[in-house]
Parts: sequence; C-alpha cells; structure tokens
Amino acid sequence: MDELGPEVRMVSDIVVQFAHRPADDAAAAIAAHLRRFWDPRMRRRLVAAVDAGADVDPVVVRVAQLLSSSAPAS
Amino acid sequence: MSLLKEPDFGTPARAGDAGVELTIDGTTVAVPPGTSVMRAAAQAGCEVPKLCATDSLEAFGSCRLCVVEIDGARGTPASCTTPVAPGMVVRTQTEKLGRLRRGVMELYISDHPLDCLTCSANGDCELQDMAGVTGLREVRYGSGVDAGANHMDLLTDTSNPYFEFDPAKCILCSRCVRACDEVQGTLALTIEGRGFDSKVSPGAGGTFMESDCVSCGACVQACPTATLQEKTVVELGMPTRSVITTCAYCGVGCSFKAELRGSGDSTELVRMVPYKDGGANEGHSCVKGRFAFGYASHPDRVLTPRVRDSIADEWREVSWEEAITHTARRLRAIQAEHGTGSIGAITSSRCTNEEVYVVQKMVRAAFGNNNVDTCARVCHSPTGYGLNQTFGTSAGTQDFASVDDADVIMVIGANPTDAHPVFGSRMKKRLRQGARLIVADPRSIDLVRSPHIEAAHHLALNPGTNVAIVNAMAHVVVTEGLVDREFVDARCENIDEWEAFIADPAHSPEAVEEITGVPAAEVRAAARLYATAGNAAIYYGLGVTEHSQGSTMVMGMANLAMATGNIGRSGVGVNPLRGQNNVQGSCDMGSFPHELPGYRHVSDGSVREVYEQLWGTPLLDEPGLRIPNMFDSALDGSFRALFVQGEDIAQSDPNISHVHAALAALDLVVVQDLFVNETAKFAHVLLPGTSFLEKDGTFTNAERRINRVRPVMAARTGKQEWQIVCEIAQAMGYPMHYDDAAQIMDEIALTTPTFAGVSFAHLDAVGSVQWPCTTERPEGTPIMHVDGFVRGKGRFVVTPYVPTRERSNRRFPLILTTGRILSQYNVGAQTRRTANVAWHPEDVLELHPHDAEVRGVADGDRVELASRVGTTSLRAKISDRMPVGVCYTTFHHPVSGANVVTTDNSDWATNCPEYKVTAVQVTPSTALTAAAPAHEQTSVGAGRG
Ligand code: SF4
Ligand code: SF4
Ligand code: SF4
Ligand code: FES
Repeated sequence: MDELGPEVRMVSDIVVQFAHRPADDAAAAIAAHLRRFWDPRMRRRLVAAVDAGADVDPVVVRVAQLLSSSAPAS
Repeated sequence: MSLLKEPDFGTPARAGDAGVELTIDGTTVAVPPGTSVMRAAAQAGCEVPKLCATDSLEAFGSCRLCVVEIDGARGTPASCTTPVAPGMVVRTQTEKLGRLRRGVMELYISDHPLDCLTCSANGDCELQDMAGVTGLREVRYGSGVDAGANHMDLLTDTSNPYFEFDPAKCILCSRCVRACDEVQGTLALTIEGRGFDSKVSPGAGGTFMESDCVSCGACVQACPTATLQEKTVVELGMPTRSVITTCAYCGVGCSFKAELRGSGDSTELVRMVPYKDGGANEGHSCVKGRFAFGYASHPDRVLTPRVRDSIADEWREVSWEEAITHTARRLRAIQAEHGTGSIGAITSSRCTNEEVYVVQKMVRAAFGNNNVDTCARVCHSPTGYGLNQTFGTSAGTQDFASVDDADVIMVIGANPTDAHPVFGSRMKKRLRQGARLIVADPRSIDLVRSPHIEAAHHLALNPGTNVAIVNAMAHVVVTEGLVDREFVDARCENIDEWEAFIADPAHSPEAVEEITGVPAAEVRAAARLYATAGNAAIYYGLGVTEHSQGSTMVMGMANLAMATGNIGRSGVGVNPLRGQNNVQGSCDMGSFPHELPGYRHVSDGSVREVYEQLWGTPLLDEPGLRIPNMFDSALDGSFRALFVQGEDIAQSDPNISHVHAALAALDLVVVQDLFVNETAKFAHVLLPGTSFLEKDGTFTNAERRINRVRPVMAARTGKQEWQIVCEIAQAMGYPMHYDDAAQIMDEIALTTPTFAGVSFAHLDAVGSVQWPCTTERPEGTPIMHVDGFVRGKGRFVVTPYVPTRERSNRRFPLILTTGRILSQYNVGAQTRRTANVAWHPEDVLELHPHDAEVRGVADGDRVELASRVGTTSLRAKISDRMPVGVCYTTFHHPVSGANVVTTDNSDWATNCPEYKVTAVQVTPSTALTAAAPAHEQTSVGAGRG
C-alpha cells in the first residue's frame, strides 16, 4: 500500500477504526480528524492520490471529496 | 547555600488530627494518635538521642538510646516504640537517663574503629553525634581495636560501583535492612547470624552486586554511620553545600539535594541525595537519579559549536556567533527556496519547560509555521488524544500519593519497578498493605510475583490485543450490572451508545478469548474485582500507547473508569506513567503541531489572538507536520530543514532505515545535544547543550507536578539552551529575548490559563505545584475532575477492537515487544556513560524456553533478529517471564539497534509508532552482524524461517 504514499496508508488505518459507523458518518468524522491533525500538504497529497485513481476504500474517496470541497480547517 | 540537613523526627508522621495532648519536659504538645513519644518530643523541641530510629522507617527499638521516663510507667521505655497517650508526662533529660545512654554508647564505641578524623563520614555520622550528645568521655571496656573480640577486621565490600559496605563500622541498627524492606521493597538485605556473630548481609552471604540489590541507595541514606557510604564521598570528601533540584531521568520527577564542594569553576558534585520534602519522591530515589550523574562531566560532552557543509565532511569548531548566524541564514535560505513550511523543529522531553516553550515559539513566530513536534509523539501522544476526548484534558488524573488510598491497582502495559522505580516502590508498599493487583501485560513483569506481593490476576494477553481486553472487562461491568449509575448519570454523557456497543456478546471475555489468549474466567474475575473492591486505580505505560490502537486503548480505559465511578477522588483514576522526565511538560508547552501551549488547537482564533498580540506576528491556523510526517515529507522533498532539540531520533524512532533516509535527504539538520549522538551523524550544525546540572527552569512530572530545576554549576558551554534558540530566532529577524528563565515562565503563566499561578518565586516558596495552578488555586490541583470533568461531562467513546496490520506468519512467527530496564534510560546516551553499564552492558533478547529450544538457541547465544524491515543481532536470554511466541528487548544501546526491526505502523489517531508489536524471526548466529535494514541484509538472515 505504501506505493500509494504514506497518507493513503494512514487514512486506511483510520477508516478501519470507524468501520462501525455508517459510511457517510465515518467519512465526515475522518475528514474532521484530518483537518484537525494533518498538515494541509498531507491532505492535499491524499486528495491527489485519490484523484489519481488510487485503489482505496469508498470511505476514503468520500473523505477526499469532503476535504477538497470545503475550506481549510478553522 | 550551606549543606541542608533535614530534620529527622525519628518515626513517621501519623495521619489525623492532633488530638492527643501530652507534656514533654514541661512543654505541652498535641499530636495525632499513634505518634511516638520520640516524634512528639521532637515536635516539642526536645530531641531525644537515637540511633536505630529515623523517620522514613517504622520504629524498631533495638538501640535503647532513646529511653525516657514517663510518669506512672515502669522502667525507662524506648520513646521510639512508645505511642503517645492523652495526659502523658514525659521526661527526656534526667541524670538516670544520661547514665543509661552513656552505657549504651560505651558498648557501641568499644566495637567501633575510632578513626573518626580520617573516616569518610566525619561530620555526618550519627554515632559520632550521639557520643557527643550523651557526653561520652570514657569507654571502660577498651575501645577500637584494643577492645578484645570485635568486628574490626571485616573486609569492605566494594562490589557496587557507587557505594561501599564496610562492616567494621556497622552498629547493627538494622536501618539499612528496614529501608530496603519498607522504602524500596526489594528485601535484599538481612541480619545474618545471632548475637556477636550477627551481621548485615546482602542475599545469602554474597556481595551487594551478587544480591537482589537494585542500587536505589535507600540503605546508604538510612545508615547512620560510614558503613554504607557513597564512593564519591570517600573519594572527594564530605560535601559542604546543597542545591535542591529535580532528577532529569524519568517521569517520576524526584527531588534531590545536589550536594557540592567548592565553588565557581571548581564546583564538584559529590552526591545526589533524595530530598525528603520532594512532593514526588518524599525522600526516595532509584539508581539513575541517585548515582548516574557522571555523564554530565563525561569527556564525550561537546562543549563548542560545530558546523559542516555536508555530512560527509569533518566537523569544524566555530564560535557561538558563527554557529547561530550560519543556522539562521541557512534556515531562511531554505524557506526562501522551498517555502515557509519547509522547515521545522522537534522539542525534547528532557529539556525544561522554558527551553521547550522557546523552541515552539521560534517555530510558530520566527519560522512562521506549525511544524513543531516532540518526542512524546513516539511515547504518550495517544494519552493526550484519548484523555482529551474522554475527560477533556491531556493529563493523568491523580497525584502519586493517591495510590496509598487504592484498594485495587490495575497495571497495564507498564513496568513501574523498572521504568518508574520510585513510584513502583510506593505502589509496592500499598500492595504489601493489602491492595489487590491486576496486571495486564504479555510478560510476567516483576510485580506479578515479588516478595510479599502476588497479582490477583495476571492477564497475559497477546501483544496488540489491549483493546479487546479492556472492552471485555467493560462488557462484564455492563452486563453484570456493575455500572455506577449514580456517577454515570450525574457526570457522563453518551453512555447509551457506549453501553449498547459494549454489551454486544462479541465483546464478551469468552468471545475474545482466542484473540487475547487470556482465559475468559480470568478476565471476568478481574473485571469484577476492579468494579467492586472499592477504590480502583489504573496505571499504564507505553505498553498501552505504542500500538496501532494506542489512542483507542486510552479511551477504553477511561470508559472503564467512568463506568465504575473510579474518577475524581483519591485512590482511583487513570494514570499514565510517563517515560522521560519532562514528557508532560513538553506536551503542556505547545510542542504538538496542532496545539498551542495548554492543549489549545491552533484553529482557535481567540487563543491565537493572545499569542499574536504578545508575539507581534500572525500565526498559522492549520496544523503542521508530526515527526513521522516530517520524515515522509523529507523524502518527498517538501520538508528540507530540521532543528532537533536533545533527542536522538536516529536511534529512538522506529524503522530506522526510513528515518536515516529521511535525515540524509534534508538540506539542513541542526542538533542541540550533549553528545555526538546518532542523529548528529546526519547533522550540519551541532549546538552543544547543557546537562540538568547546568539548567535553570522547571520540569513537569507524570502527576502534573511542576518542579524547579536549579543550576548547580554554570553552563559548561557558556550558554543556556533557551538563549541559543532565542539568538537563532533573532538572527532570523524575529525579536525574541528574555533576561532569564524566570521571565519565560512568566510569559507561560500570562498566556496559559492552567499555569496562571505559576512563577519561579511561587515554586521557590511552596516547593512544587500540580497544574492547573491558577491565581484562585495557587496550591495547584493534586486530583483532577473532582466535581466535574474538565470538558464538563465525561464522554464515553465507542472503542471497537481492530487488530494491527502487523501479523506473525510462517516467515516471522514470533512477536517482538520492546521496553526498558531499571538501570538504563531511553537510548542510553546518559546512562551508558555511567557505571550503570555494570547492570546492563548490552541489550538482550528475552525469549521463552520453548521458543529457544525449537530454534536451538541456548542462554547467552548470539541470535539474529529479523523483521520485515530489518535485521539485527543480540544475545539471547531465556526467560520464563515470556509467554510462548513473544520475545522482548530493550533499546538502550545503539549497536544492537532494536529499532532496525520495528516497523512504521502507528497509532491511527496520533502516529505514535507501534513499537510493541513486530513480527520477527529469531535464528542462531555466530558472527556479530551489525544492525542492518532489510534492503541491506546479507544472506546470513534473509529468507530463513
Ligand atoms: S541499595 Fe536499595 S536495593 Fe540495594 S540493598 Fe540498599 S536499599 Fe536495598
Ligand atoms: S550498615 Fe549501617 S544501617 Fe545497616 S545495620 Fe549497619 S550501621 Fe545500621
Ligand atoms: S525514579 Fe525517576 S525521577 Fe526518581 S530518581 Fe529514579 S529516574 Fe530519577
Ligand atoms: S532509637 Fe529508639 S531504640 Fe533505637
């Protein structure tokens, strides 16, 4: 998985922790977590990896959408 | 300051109101019931002579020097063993008593070498003092070597590197034996033989080094004569003055008297004596703080700044000015070329709060980004996350003294007798008094079974299954009706969601038995004990945090404590045992890339405004890079320069080959440290640091206690570390100046509400305080969440168990877990430069006899340890403390490079590395193969298994 970059590995680790929640819910919580704890360049790299078609969990795709659609954390 | 001799009241204080009134030598005094007459007399200002009594130990009544007369009592009772009674009338000084005491002294002196003038304890010997106090003028039986049969030709035991035992001077008061039993809890000493033949003996008649002695020094401190004496006192002579300061090793934060000789440049540190008034240690110590300070004057210390253009070049010694301008210029140049976010810093848990605060300020204000992280990332960052989510603050809930009120103690993934020894001794004392013990640890740590202590339950779980265990315990609590409804209803939220989750049979002890390896009945019994036996306290360490679910586990423990109402009073709580001395403080000081000091998120505009006004510059509202992200970004080219304060990331961080590659990719590495450590091999600038003996500032220990660190000598490098950081910031064009460290603390207090009441002056006046320390609560807060949680209501968080991605398989069938041992500290840069190596000359690999046998490994063999990421070589130690399938090592020596094999898996929430679970194979090896990452492995190890 590391060929996709460390961000994809890390977000996948997070996704499994939220597997007990409905996908949309999980994606929102994860996106909020990433805004709180990840440097913007890491979030950008994640979005870029997903945009480039990385083979990831659908929740990750949703997280990437949320991250690119909203303004940076504040 | 002169040599500080603390008052000795002879016997320990008793708790309770001073309700018993009595008269001693005409003075009326009131003391709590159970107090000895000796202590009451001392409080009334009448010192009774004594030899076998000291107030750290229960009275023993053997020397009979402390006899007194009591109206209505027969004879002359020993005042140390006689409790006070209301209306008692006591006389401590009469002619008869004087005669009796001189008689006692005569006997002692007749079997004692009378070489006082040349004895190392001259001036600090209670026998000498008592001869004076009792007015002894002649010895009728002859004295010294002329006195017939005596003990004066017994040989001195010098086996311990730090103290010697000269039995010829022993008066058999048994204080050493009792100190080892009562204070330290090791029970290494006995009085062997009877009558004239009795003598103090370590173990079965061997030497101290052959015995169970852990060199804590308690016996040396308790000994009233020169029998047990520090070797430094023998060599250098009696100290003449003391400075109170704080140990710089572990998170217990013991207070010490640094006892010195000479002044100015000729100051010599003679010994470190634990300070009785120290809030964390109350006069006890361990081998590290007590004796292992020699590294501060080790010839390896770097004292002059060094610079080089490339890491292939030789170092060039330069002036401070050149080093600072060069660093500032390079940092700015890199930012100009690669962007504001291309540089950052790592703060150290070994540095003072003030030193850490200025580094994060330099990053946020002068660098203009939030790329600051701290080595707590790799140890307790999940504590911060987990306790913040559930309780609302990133700190342990109790003071150390709280353990004295615990009825059940649950130790999870911690080994306090080795890693937090002074607290470990306190915990053992409580366990010997009858508190019940639950240990959750794959290894059978010392606490599981030690003299007079046996764990009620040892949950020997498979590494990586903590969350499954804590959930199973909570399942029992919820499904067996053991929830403290009153507490939960009044003080917590989200209980319904959590209860529904945890009551699912999938979390029952039976359902997870196969995963955890712990019999369900054992888990059920442990849960019932925890929930029902009164005050239950959780103590945990890196065995909780350094997992892929470290943060989840912290929340799981918080859930369990809340559900059973075990929060908010003495004797309970959730308590992280912090690794390094200032882990708590470095986190408090805003060392995390997402938090300003006091754990306030950078996105909080009102908090930023406080600093923006004071610092005169806008601050970034986005989190910066954490340590592992810095490495990743170094490899992808967006991160180019790193300032490392007193940390050896090239040795201590996991998956070393990855770390080395990242460090090598950086354009500039600036290391501030005492020694040329492993990280310095990748550095372009080396800024010499100060040892704790030179620092002026504060450390904050695991119980949130802010202790003063006072300089006992001038900085050997000519500059304090905080000064260097300020000068770099200045040279980068950002004005940053303090006259002294006290001013830095004043700024911290001004900007951080939980520190509002803290100043050096306040600490000097009261000794220490536990934050929150505000102007309304200047005495601080020993126990948190008493009337309500910091976040309002305690929040139950759903904590599903998710197995780690690191699995054993046919090629890597064993699980390696890592830890630390008593005599060494962290990467060992300090302790390896002291005589502590006598106890731990190298890291060893502990494995179960079965695992050893099937591999043809014998005790002491060299073996090769291989994981998916690397291979290293260690000596094997066969140990039935290990469960089958699990092996264990420490990381104190660079040559063994345990972190060559650890992976870059990490806690999902905080990126704290998963040091505690690595799938490995162990094979016998003959040659010492140097530690090598996987891609450099030779055929020796690759592909086997
Ligand atoms: S140094 Fe500590 S462990 Fe060793 S004998 Fe003395 S009291 Fe016991
Ligand atoms: S060694 Fe010291 S403390 Fe121990 S019995 Fe002898 S005199 Fe007392
Ligand atoms: S317990 Fe920790 S703080 Fe105390 S002396 Fe030992 S290393 Fe130092
Ligand atoms: S001091 Fe009381 S008997 Fe020794």
